[in-house]
Amino acid sequence: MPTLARIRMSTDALADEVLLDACRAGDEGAFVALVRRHHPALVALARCWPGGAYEAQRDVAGAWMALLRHADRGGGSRDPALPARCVRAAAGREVIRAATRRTNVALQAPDVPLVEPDRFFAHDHELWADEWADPPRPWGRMAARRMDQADMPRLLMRRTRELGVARAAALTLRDVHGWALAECAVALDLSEPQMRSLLRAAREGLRAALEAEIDSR
Amino acid sequence: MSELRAPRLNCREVVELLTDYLEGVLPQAERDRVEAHLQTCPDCTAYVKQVRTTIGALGRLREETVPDAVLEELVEAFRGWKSADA
Repeated sequence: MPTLARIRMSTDALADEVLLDACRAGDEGAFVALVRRHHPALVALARCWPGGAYEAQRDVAGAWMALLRHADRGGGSRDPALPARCVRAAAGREVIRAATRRTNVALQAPDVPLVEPDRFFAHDHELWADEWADPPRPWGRMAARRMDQADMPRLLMRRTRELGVARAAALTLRDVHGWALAECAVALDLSEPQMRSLLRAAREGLRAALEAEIDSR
Repeated sequence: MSELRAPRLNCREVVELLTDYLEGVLPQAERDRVEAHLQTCPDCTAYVKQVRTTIGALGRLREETVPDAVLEELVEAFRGWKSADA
């Protein structure tokens, strides 16, 4: 029986789709490889919903099994609900279903202004229409030191979750785990323009929270 | 023949276009307008740097490992799925 370390070496180069097909055929090594590749991002995604690490792990475990079951539907042909070459996005979608069922908190993009409107001069200002009225202060060395402090990762995670599940999920998949924008859109069941709009609001929400943190020092 | 030049973007427009700019989905002409604005606007330059810093900080939160106990549990579940399927 191959060890888990050997499984990692032999599957690193295989595409997700190949691994999912192998899982479908009962290949345990392929399953381990897929889990190693994507489980951390999926747990981080589940943690955007209320609950702790245990609940998030349960959501993701359920999502893996749902993904295998969906792969079965259709007698071996690819489930049309699974986007081609987008295994992790399909897994992300399953995680979101599980977390939504568990918490009853739906993924809804908030309708918030991008930047506080009063930070810009009005549209009809005689001289400075739509220019900054209250511009951001450049982040210098003090900000860099603050960003490197030991408590920053925890603060970033807290501030991200405080943005609500939709914005937190967008930041987690795109900026923390580097998923392609199109994959994020599939996982969150959004069009790409909607996904970019959500990401824009999410990045601005977190930037503003960090700006408040840094300016308060 | 004179070329029609697009008007200068204002700061609010640059902020609204920033994600598309950073994601590389802006048409080249729009991209050029954003960059022309940034060359002359220290406030928007500061804003862009803050957004880039925020994205960079998020990238450092990435967790890569799956705890052994979690992996074993998932493998057990996989075996259960496989035997139920057989």
